[in-house]
Amino acid sequence: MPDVIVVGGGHNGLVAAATLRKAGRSVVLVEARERFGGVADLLFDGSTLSGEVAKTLGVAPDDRGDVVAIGDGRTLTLNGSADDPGYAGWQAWVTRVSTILASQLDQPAPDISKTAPVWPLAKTGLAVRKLGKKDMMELLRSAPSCVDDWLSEHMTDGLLKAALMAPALHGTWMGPRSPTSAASLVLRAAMQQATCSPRALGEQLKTTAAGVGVEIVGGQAVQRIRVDEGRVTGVELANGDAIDASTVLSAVGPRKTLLDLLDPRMVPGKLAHQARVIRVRGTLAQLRLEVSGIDWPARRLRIVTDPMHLERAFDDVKFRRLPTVPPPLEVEVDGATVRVNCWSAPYELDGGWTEDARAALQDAMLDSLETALPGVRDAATVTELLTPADIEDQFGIDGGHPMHGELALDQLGPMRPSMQLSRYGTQIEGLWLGCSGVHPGGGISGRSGLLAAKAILGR
Amino acid sequence: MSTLGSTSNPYDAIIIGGGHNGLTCAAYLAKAGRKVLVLERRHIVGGAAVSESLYPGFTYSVCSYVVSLLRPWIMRDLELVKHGLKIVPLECSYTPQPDDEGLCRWPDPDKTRREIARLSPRDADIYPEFGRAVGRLSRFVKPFIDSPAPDPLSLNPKDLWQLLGMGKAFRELGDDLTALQFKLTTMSGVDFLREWFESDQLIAPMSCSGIIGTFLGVKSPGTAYVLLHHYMGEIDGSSRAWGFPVGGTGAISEAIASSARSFGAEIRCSAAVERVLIKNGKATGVVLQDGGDELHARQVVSGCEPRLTFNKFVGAEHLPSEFATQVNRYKCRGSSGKVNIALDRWVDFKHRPGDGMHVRGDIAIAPSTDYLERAYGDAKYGDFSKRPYINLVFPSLLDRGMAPPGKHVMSCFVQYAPYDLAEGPEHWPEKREAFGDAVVDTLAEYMPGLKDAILHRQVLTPWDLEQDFGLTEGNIFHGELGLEQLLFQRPVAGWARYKTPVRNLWLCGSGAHPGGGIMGAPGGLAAKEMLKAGAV
Amino acid sequence: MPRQTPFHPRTAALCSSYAWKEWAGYAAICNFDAHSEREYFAFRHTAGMIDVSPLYKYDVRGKDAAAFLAHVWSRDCTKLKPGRVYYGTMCNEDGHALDDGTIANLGEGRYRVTSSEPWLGWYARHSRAFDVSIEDETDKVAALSLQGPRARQILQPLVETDLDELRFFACDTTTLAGKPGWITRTGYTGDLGYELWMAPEDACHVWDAVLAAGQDHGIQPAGLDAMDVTRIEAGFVLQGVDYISAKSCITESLKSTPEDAGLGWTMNLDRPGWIGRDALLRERDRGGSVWQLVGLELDWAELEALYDAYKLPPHLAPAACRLAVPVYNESGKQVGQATSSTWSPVLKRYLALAQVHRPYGELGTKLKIEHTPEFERCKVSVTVVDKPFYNPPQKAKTPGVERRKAAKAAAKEAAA
Repeated sequence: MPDVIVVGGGHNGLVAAATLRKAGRSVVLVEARERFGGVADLLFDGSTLSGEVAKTLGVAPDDRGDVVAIGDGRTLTLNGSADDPGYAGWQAWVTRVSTILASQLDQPAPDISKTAPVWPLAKTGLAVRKLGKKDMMELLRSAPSCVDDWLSEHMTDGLLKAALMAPALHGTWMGPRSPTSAASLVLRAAMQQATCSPRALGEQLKTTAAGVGVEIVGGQAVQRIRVDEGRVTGVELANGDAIDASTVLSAVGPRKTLLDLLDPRMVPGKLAHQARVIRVRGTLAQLRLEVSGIDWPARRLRIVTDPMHLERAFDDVKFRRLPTVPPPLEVEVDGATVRVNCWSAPYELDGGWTEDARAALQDAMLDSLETALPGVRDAATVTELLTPADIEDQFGIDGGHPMHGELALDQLGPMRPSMQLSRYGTQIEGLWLGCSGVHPGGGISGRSGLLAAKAILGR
Repeated sequence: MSTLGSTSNPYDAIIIGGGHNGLTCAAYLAKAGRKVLVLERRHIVGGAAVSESLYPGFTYSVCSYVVSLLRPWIMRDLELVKHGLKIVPLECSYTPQPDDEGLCRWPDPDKTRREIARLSPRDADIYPEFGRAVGRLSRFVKPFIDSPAPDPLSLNPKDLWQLLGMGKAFRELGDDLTALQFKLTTMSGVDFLREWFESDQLIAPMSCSGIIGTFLGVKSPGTAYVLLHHYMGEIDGSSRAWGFPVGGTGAISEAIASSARSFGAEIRCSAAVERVLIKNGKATGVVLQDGGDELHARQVVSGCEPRLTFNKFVGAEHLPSEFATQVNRYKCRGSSGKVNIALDRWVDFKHRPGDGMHVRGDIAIAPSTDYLERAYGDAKYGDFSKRPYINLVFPSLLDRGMAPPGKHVMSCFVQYAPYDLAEGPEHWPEKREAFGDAVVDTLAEYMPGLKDAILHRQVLTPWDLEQDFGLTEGNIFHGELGLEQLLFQRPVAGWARYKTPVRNLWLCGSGAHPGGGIMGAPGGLAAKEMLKAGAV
Repeated sequence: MPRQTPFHPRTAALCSSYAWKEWAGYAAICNFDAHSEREYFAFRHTAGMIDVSPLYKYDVRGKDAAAFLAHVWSRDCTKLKPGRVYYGTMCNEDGHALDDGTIANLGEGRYRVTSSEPWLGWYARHSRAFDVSIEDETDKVAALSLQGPRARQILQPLVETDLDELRFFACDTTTLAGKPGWITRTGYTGDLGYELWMAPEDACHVWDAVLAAGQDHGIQPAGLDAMDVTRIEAGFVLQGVDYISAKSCITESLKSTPEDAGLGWTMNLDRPGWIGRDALLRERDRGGSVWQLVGLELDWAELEALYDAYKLPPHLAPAACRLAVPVYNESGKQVGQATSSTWSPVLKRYLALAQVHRPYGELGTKLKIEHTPEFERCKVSVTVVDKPFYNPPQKAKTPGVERRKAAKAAAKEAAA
């Protein structure tokens, strides 16, 4: 009987498993798919990896080069400098603030419950105050505002602004004109410590985990987390096998864990309600192509015109409809294999993701690609289209949401996924949560898995 | 003795702008024995709390038309009842649907329950619970609006103590309410309401209070906390939140003006100010537009919007550059218009005929959250909503003096009408009538007999609100009520206690804490700060 | 504007006092006559018939109906046999009382639940784990209560059920004056009584039949005021008066645990799995609740003397008072509040229900209660006494059972 079962072999699950194993616990990790890494297979942004994870688990840095933005007939390489005169000052401020905020994202969320001690909260307050009065005021002023207003106060280049704000909107249910989207950008910046190539991350982490002795079970779905008299006793697999353990770390999303994997009778009505209201409106669709004979300006591209382009794309999400404008895209080129992400495909599409809807989305994405790179449409063969519904089915994540929960301020920090669950433990003895759906969240990060493992070890 | 206002005999304070806040400030200063002069550009006082008769026999509450948070301490201190203040309750909230009778929420909780139960039995049970939970949170707001803004960055022991008290009270709410407060502050109105309710027809009108006067949609983060406004009326102990002042909101301004005069304040209308007199970095008085006369005062107070104050009345050369930059970042995007209509007779709502109780409150054209969001969408891209959100009141049903017998007045608050039209704000006058038509066309869908009954129509676009009422970019609150410009950040961080970088120049309007709405609080608190500082 | 119950055509015609009040959105009668005395005496000496349709009623059925009810209510409904009724308390997760009510098992997996507040939203939130369907029947069921020593005699000709065998807190599907419905031996007066449940369209027919059947027995239509006096005599708490549902409390201090509300006896802390149990266990471990719900009896002689000093006759109207008044210990410190009080005509005692701090709730403790003759606030002595104040033997006895007991005893004696 292992000490810990980790449910889900996404990057956070793998990080947690490896961390627990290295600390001496015996660990079994169970993943439903044949491939490991979960949504690392879908996401392109590898810049928010936890520095500690990169170091301790030996993750290779990103080797794909800078992102190039294409739009409005221009290209712009995003390498930390830009012609727009306001950029440097803005970027310097963001870097200053991120460095201070980063420490908050590398530790558990503060406990803000009624019975929590006050001193740690005061410490957090003091840590943030290190910013100094001026920077703090600027943060308090900017964070609640919309990212369009905020960036426009500093810069004028529409393509630059759009390229900077786009990745911060991924995984949110916001557009550039949504208040608090500025906070999203700051938080993402604060998570930029180490880099990786997400596509390769799954295998890397799996190899590392197996290398330190984690027993890895692939292609098996966990069907039930068994609870007896308020304590975890193990898991049941879809094939009928059972594995006993007194500690289970679920890395498959709080909603799925609480509402699907546990016997409903173990989940009191109030807890079930808290899980049900976690918003998981996925907006990601991925198109996979084989392309030959195109001269790509870079291995990573961002196709967008200006902030209003992103806003119009978000309108499509808001009104649950197919793209009314060729959508903004992010592209990753790996030889002849090209993957294209659209972050404005609503999970809740009116009428559902029918064959017609899929075809329409595909056309719209190819249109957008064609605008940026004329000729690509004819040079490309579509190998697969994943809509949010497909992502939900194939990756087992509610709403097809790669972060297991929208990155909204009310679902972040001490509230991610809820006040009682943001510090990895649950009311059920031995059941822990650790994935992007728990603080600090974000995309490819590994922090949630690392912190969850540390919480288990701390006990 | 030389004339009052001369350099040797200055006023104690000159207040620029006779809006309700400026008048409140004047009244408090005069009550404290100071020599006060209010200078109002228009021919009548009130600013955006004004009533005018633009068509014989009919009175419009031209801009604002309801009141909810007029501070009880101001009503008491200024003896406003003695000066004519009378507020009648606005009890119902009716949301018609194009195809059926829609939803009406009544003062009788059981009647409301039955109506909501038609849409969702579960929502009907939860509705009063929601009101109680949010009501408990709104108690927190009260100390904020009745005292100057706390400063979280200050190391002043008094400020820290105040913050500690706030933190303690916050935690004492208990975990459920703490989490709710967190959500209320950050979420969109629709998402917040969706955690409680399932019926979109109920969520839509409830989410509207979160977007009044903002340039945001009901699905935008940050629109939930303004929902508190709807429940905040409870904090003053009265059982009904919203009310209609007899005589329109102009009657409130007139009552405050009358009170101010009774304490000795002088109020001059048709007396536009050109600029503030500044000597050696200090405000010493004002220059009138007509004739260039100079009037001197020890203190100058502006009840006008901050950007207007600092750009027009002061000038960048008198301001520290950092402050000037920040003030110009102050967001005033107007998003609303107003249409006032004189009706020849009562016009029925198609699915709930008659002038019964259901129309003696406020009526919202808000049939669904998608409808509301689409209205915002139109404006986001630089045009007025073709099918707007309309908040409608019939003042004539609440106050028979507003119209001749058998005839009626309609007061329509409309969103969205963006100040920044795609073609530029100065094109608003050309589009004014089309905007008015869009409003009437929309209402006619619910009230088929409307068009034939219209005797007169006044249409105010954001441009008109700016030009005629001094509301920068037509924003009705003298600046948006977003978190980034509230409390210690209103209008600029570090300058949230009515003082400005220009010595002896103060702010007392809605652009100062606690913000817009007919509260009188900015005016009263500014006066108290001035008196406390011994400035006047 | 309140709605009318299915009995309205009958009750309105008889209400000469025009004394109505609003109960759960319905118009309910306070008293038919100018005073409620005659109706009260009917409850105590013959039978009073009162329309209780405004109670919130729920139809709960399904494979897991009993388990679901055992989860949301404090009683173990999995042990509730068909034909039986439980009275229980419903709590929230913090162990605070939300409501009290009855759960009747009508057999074949069908349960009927009554409460003073609506709970559909709450039930929906807590039924996810159960295969159960819950329907709000409040408007679909008319309810008539017949309470008093002659209730059985009056009803027997009208119902199929053998009332000589229908035990206390039992229920049965039956016909009522030929109309389908069910009967429960429950009530709110602490005496012999039955509640009749039927379709709204049959309400007036049943009313007429019961009224006719009761003519020779002194039956009297009764209103809420008279019932209020009887329920205080019976020691029954009323939600909204003696304790406030946690749902309606705007501050924490107003909330009550079942123990605070005098409903501790309805809960079994040793049984796991019901909402609030864990919090209440913690309360017990911390030393239990601070409050006790007790019965108080005012010193009648002292009361007379007090009024005498004002040259007034003592105010002993048999109308319940729901104005809470402070309760003090002998040194004058406030230790609680009396939330319901009344003069009891049948007992000739002045009674009150009060929440007091422990240990002032011990039987026999002497306290003081505020009493205000002619605008001056005075204190009158009260003693903590046992509840119920009035507990007549016919309340719980069943003739068939008694007969068999007597026969057995006689046989035993004969054998001896």
